[in-house]
Amino acid sequence: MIAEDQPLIPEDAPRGAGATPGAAGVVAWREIRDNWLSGRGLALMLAYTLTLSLTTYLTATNQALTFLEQREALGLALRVAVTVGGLLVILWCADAVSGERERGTLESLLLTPTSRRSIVIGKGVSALTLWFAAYLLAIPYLWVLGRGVSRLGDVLVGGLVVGTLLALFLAGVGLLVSMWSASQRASLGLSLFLLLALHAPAMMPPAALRGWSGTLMRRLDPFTGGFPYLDQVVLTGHPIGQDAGMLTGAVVAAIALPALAVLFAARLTLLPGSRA
Amino acid sequence: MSRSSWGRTAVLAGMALAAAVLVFWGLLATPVEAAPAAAGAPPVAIRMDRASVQASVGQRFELVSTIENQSGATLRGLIAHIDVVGTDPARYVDPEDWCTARTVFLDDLSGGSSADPRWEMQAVDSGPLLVWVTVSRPDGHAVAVGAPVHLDVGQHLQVNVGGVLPVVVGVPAAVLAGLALVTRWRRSPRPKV
Amino acid sequence: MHAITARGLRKTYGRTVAVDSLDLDVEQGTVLGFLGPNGAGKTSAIRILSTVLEPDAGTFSVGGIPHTDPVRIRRRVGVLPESAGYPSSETGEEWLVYHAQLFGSPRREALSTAKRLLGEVGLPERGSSPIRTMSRGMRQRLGIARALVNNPDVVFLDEPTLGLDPAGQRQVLQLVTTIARERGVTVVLSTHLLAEVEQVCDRVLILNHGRLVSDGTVAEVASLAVGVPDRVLLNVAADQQQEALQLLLDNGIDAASASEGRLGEAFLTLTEDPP
Repeated sequence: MIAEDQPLIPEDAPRGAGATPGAAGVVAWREIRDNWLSGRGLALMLAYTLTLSLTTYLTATNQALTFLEQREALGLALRVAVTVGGLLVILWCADAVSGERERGTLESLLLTPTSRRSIVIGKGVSALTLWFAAYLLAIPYLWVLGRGVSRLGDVLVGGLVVGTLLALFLAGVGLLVSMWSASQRASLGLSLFLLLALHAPAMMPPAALRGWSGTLMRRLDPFTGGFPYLDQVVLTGHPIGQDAGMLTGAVVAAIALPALAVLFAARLTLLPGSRA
Repeated sequence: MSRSSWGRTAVLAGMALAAAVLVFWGLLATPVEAAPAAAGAPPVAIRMDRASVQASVGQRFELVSTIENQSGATLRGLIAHIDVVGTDPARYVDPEDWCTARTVFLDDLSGGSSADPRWEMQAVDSGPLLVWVTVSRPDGHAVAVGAPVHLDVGQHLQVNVGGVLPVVVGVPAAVLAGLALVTRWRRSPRPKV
Repeated sequence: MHAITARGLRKTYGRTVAVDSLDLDVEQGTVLGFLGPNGAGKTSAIRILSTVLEPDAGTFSVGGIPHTDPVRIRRRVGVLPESAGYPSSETGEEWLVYHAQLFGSPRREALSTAKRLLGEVGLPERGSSPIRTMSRGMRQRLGIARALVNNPDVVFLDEPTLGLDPAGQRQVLQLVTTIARERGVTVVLSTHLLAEVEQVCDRVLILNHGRLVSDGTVAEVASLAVGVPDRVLLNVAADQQQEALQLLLDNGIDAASASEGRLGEAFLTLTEDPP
């Protein structure tokens, strides 16, 4: 099995010292390959594009919906893209650490000199590719729905901005939940619940968001700022800079939650809540 | 001219001068109000962000009005109101269909300051229309009226059904093709890493 | 310099004491066996020494590197965890390349390392096969290869023969021996089978309920484990009890008592030292 004259391990095998530089990139690239070349990512994109196709076709052909102004059809497609993209990101991140724990592959990762933060960053980056892929696939739909609509470029940019902010926020949420969950099921369930809970205020009528509580919710919940901003850009035709103030909460959330996840990643352990 | 004539003239001139001074001081003491459209109307200037709007049926748009207090005193209890009228006698226009929140109660407006109420509107029918904003006081005296916005609503922009089919079918088909390729690649002997 | 030194290591999970006041000195090049039943603390001890878990108390060093520098320790150790999981969709080669890169190898060098190690653990033809198609024995050997990607000074193997058939066990144990002998690597082998320790290890630590019960050479510990019994119970059929007693007497063994078992057997208790 092993040649007698062949050393098992060459003398010149690398050793180095300290955490491996660029490890986040190694993790990210490997996770991206695993996402997409395993077929899982493409399977999710297939389900997503079928949803978009169904939505687009119905809005185009349903007689009862012909009054639906073109901009509203455009807004609906964009909302589907942003919502589904965010859903994929948070669910993927929710599996990032807790899934590795359950599959028994986390320990091998923790045994490398890779910093825990690099592991989490790499996994977060790979999850974000799901959002960008969803957005890219939505562009043909948005283009065909938006032909003749003024400021279509602003609509596309606005959708990218809002979707990216929400995706960053949800990636942070998913990673935090995943690091602290004892099981993959708990992680996925909690992440899904948080997504629905955060989405709910955005579905409320404007009258429900009056007063100090409504103002607070609009400012803290990135969805209640992001979706109304999209409405202003898509439905009302505002330029993208006019209502940028509505995105304050989304920007803060998009920075704070991933930052928290990276911060807590230093304490990533084999068993959640234990010391390492 | 006799001495008595000069004296009478001087008295009259002095009285006129005094009256003029009184009027002048009176004018200074009283806040200057901009020339209203009607006597008693609030001394405000009403400007709209645009003079005309081109829209299609069903389209939503927003008008922004600027209401400036042109007097030196604070104006309280002003009421801004938007109205829509169709200029085509053949078309019925119900303003409530066009704008659901047509009345805005303004905060106290100090002298020289302005308020910018926004009006969310939807073009529910085609045709030429006029939109204007008025400002009144609670006592119902004459209103201040802004210049009208000319609204021209064209036919409904419908989504081209034939145009969406290539995308509706093509994009999922492309993803499915990619998935099939990846699946086939995974099942074949792996190339070098 | 000892390869591994530990003083007063302690680890608890709630009320359960997994490792209790473990002291340890392991010479370089030693093949050390951690022997004990399930729950003895073997895995916890290995996880502490490989820096995956932080002890509640105590200090240790690996390769002269103190426990306060866990990243440097990880660069010097290789570990095959107990019940390690493997990504099902990747090939063995891809997985080894990934881990070599995580240790800082450039991609080309990582590929070379992966191919070499796959050959050396007996999987040269399986490198391009998905891991999910590998048997358990193959996966264990793949795991050993992964433990070697960084040219470690100390290798921890936690139950490497778990779930393997006898042939697979022999292959793995032979590989362990080769690793230790060829490079002088210090090996810590965790197992609950004395036979494995006897076959491979120079020294044995017996753990039970987190405590060190015995420490010595294999021969010393084996004799302690077997010893000379005070009593031996022989299970014989009830109708053969007298015949068995006579047979023992003829051979100089005096059976002091006999008792009946539940299924009609008879138990003969020997109180004399057997010849």
